[in-house]
This record gives sequence, structure tokens and C-alpha cells, in this order.
Amino acid sequence: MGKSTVWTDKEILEAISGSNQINEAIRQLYEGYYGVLENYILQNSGNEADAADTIQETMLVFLNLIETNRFRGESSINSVLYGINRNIWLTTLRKRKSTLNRDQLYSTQQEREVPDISKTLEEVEGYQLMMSLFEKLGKKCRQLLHLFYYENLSMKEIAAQEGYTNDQIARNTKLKCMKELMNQIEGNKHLKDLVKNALGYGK
Amino acid sequence: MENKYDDRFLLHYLDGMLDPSEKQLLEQEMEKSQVIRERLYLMRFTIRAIKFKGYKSSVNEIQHDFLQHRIENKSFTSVSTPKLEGKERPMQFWTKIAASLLFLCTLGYVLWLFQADGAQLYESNFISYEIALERGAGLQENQLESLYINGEFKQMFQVSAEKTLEEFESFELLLLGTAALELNNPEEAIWYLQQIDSDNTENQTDDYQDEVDFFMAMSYLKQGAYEQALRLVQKMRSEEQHKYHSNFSWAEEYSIRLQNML
Repeated sequence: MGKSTVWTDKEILEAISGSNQINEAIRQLYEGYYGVLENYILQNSGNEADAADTIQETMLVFLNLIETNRFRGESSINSVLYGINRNIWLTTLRKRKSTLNRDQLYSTQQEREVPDISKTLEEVEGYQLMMSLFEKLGKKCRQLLHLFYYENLSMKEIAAQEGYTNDQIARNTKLKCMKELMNQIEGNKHLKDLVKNALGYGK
Repeated sequence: MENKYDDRFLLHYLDGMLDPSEKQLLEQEMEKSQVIRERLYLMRFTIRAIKFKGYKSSVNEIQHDFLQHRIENKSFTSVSTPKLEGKERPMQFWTKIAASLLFLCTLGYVLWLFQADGAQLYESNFISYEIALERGAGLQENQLESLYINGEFKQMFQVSAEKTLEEFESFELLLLGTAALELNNPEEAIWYLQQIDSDNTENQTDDYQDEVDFFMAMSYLKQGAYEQALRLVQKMRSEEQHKYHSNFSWAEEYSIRLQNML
């Protein structure tokens, strides 16, 4: 790819949305923005542990924004990350301190700066619940789905790596695993409602 | 119609495996069928959840490495990171701690000395006079000496009541002076000891002069007469051959000097 040590916003976005060098892109985000994000938390009644938790969630929300095509580089990564981080931290503070005035202030700021964040957070909550169902799948299923959807490997590569007779067998197994996972979702009312709610704004 | 668009077909669509015509047909069908649309959205949500799980473990791992690297490089000041607690302290750190403790102890001692009054200096420096063994072997033991050795200080003054100062030998005067100090009577101690000092000056002798200097200094400290005490302490500290040369430290001398100035 011939990138320099510090990637541009465009390079980071391409790496994430194209599932190409995702880990390196995330590292670039940490190197470039952790200090700024942490500083915000520390200057606003938080400690280092708060900062670590908030920034981790910020990164996940940011990745989800790219994954769902809600962010395509219209503004700088710095301002988007800062907005998400601020939003999550204010929500945390709001939970900790239930002062009405503060609540109203935070809500106003939140809506003005990152309008999509509450929807994204709802999705993230759905993903978290779905992950618990995902853990109930067999090891082979989990590995297969991870390799195909996250590692972006082809069925041929997965078949070779995981010992399936051929890529068609791997493909059939993948379908079976997906159905099993979706059946579990269908059987979980809370999750189903949450997903339906999130899907209300989904594409 | 909807049976054609089963889970396999929808999954192929989401995986980008349909040819353009099939893709177009499905998208048209989705416009009409809420069932297909909802099933497809649920499937897409599930795929995103699988990806999210991957993102989560990557972010976890990368954040852990990032913070670890930052701690190792000491590029930030930690406030409450538990991992720092197990960190090995360099030798320089412990040296600084030891130096600080030593400094604080010394400072405390010096401050104690500077604020110490005569009574405190008396208590920390007073030692009872002990009769030398060789003296007892060579000379016949007198009554005062026996009483002194037995610690019967009051009786010493009772048996001496009839005698005038001039009638006592230097050794007896010394015993009576130190006995008076043992009885917490510095004025009387000075009275006896001064007699030895005067006799020595007059006769140009130095009988028990070192003892006289020391016990008179102690008596003056007990009285709070710092000027006289300081003169004697300076004399003892300046004469290297003096028997009580090392009994007072420089800090104690300065402490007496300070008390004298107050």
C-alpha cells in the first residue's frame, strides 16, 4: 500500500471500509487520537480508567459508523472521534449525576453535535446482545463466520485453512450457522425488539 | 414468489454473490415485500454483529498494547493505573527516599536541640560522678565517700553540717557538690564546687578541675544560667585533653548559645 508512518484520514477510511489492514488502521487511530480523547475525559471529571473505557467504546462506535456507511469522510476523523467521545462521556456523566439542568444541557449538546450517535449506540447494544447468542454457536461455526465476515477470507481459503472438503461444503456450513444464529435471535424477544427498533432506521 | 428469496438467496445477495440481474430482481421484490425486507435487514444486522465482535476483540487487543507501550515508554504521568503498582523501582528512587528520611531525622534532631532548654540539656547530659577505683585502693576511705558510694546523699550533708567550707578537702567538696546535684539542688552544688575552683586558682593547682567544670556546667544548665554554662561548655569542648571534652556536641553548644540569646 506504500503508506507513510502516519496515515491520512482517507487511507484509514479505505483500510477500514475495504476490510483491508483493519488492525493497522485501528492502531493509527490510537496513535493519532488517544491523547486528545483522553485529555478531554481527564479535564472533565474523569480519570484514566474512565478514559480507557470511553475511548474503547468511541472506537467501536466510529467503526460502526463506517461499517453502516454513515461516515464517508465528510468531516475529519478527528472531529468525528472527538464528538463521539464527548457524547459517550457526557452520557456516562449523565448516568452518574442525575441533575436535571445538566441532563438538559448534555442532551442539547449531544443532539447538536453528533445526531446519529444515539441510533448507533442502540445498534451497538443490539450487537452486544447478539454476541452473547453468537457465543452459543459451536466453535467451528464461530470461526467460519469470523473468518468470512471479519477476516474477509474467501470460501476457498477458509476451506483450506479449516479443513473442509471443498468451498461448497464450507458455504453450506456457513448458511447453516447463519440460520442457527438467526433462529436464536427470533427466539429472543428482547433482542428481536431491539433489532427491530434499530432496523427502523437501518438501510 | 417469496420462497425463491429464501435465506440462501438473501445471504448470497448480502455476500455480493448474485449477478446484476438477480440483484435487481431482489431489490424490486424488496420494495413490495415487507417480509423479505425485514428478513434481509435482520440478516444484515446479524452480519454486522459478527463483524462488530471482530472489531471489539481487535480494539481490545490494540488498546491493551497501546497502553502497555505507553507505560513502558513513560510518555505520560499515570494517576491511578493499577499496572504501575508492580513496577520495579530503580536504585536511585530508594536512595532518594533514604536521603529524604535522613534529612528529616537530622532536621528533627537539630530542631529539637535548638528548642531544648536547660532542663532538657541537663537531663540528656547528666552523668553521676564515679569514684575512681585506684583512688580507693591508695587512700583510706572516709565517711563521706562511703555514704556517696551507698547513695546516701542526705546523710552526707548531715554529717558535714558542723564543718566550714575551708575544712573540707577538694575531694570531699567534689562529693558534696555532686551529691547536691543528685538531690536536685544546683545552688548548693555550685557553692561546693566553686570552692574547689577558687582553691585551684589561688594555689595554682588543678585538683578535680575537669570534674568541677563539668558539674558546675550542669548546675548552671539546671538553673538556666546559660551564660555561665556556655563559658564552661566552650572550655571543655576547646580543650582536647579535658576529661569531658566529648560530652557536649556542637549542636548542644549552639543550643545553649541560642538559649542565652533569648
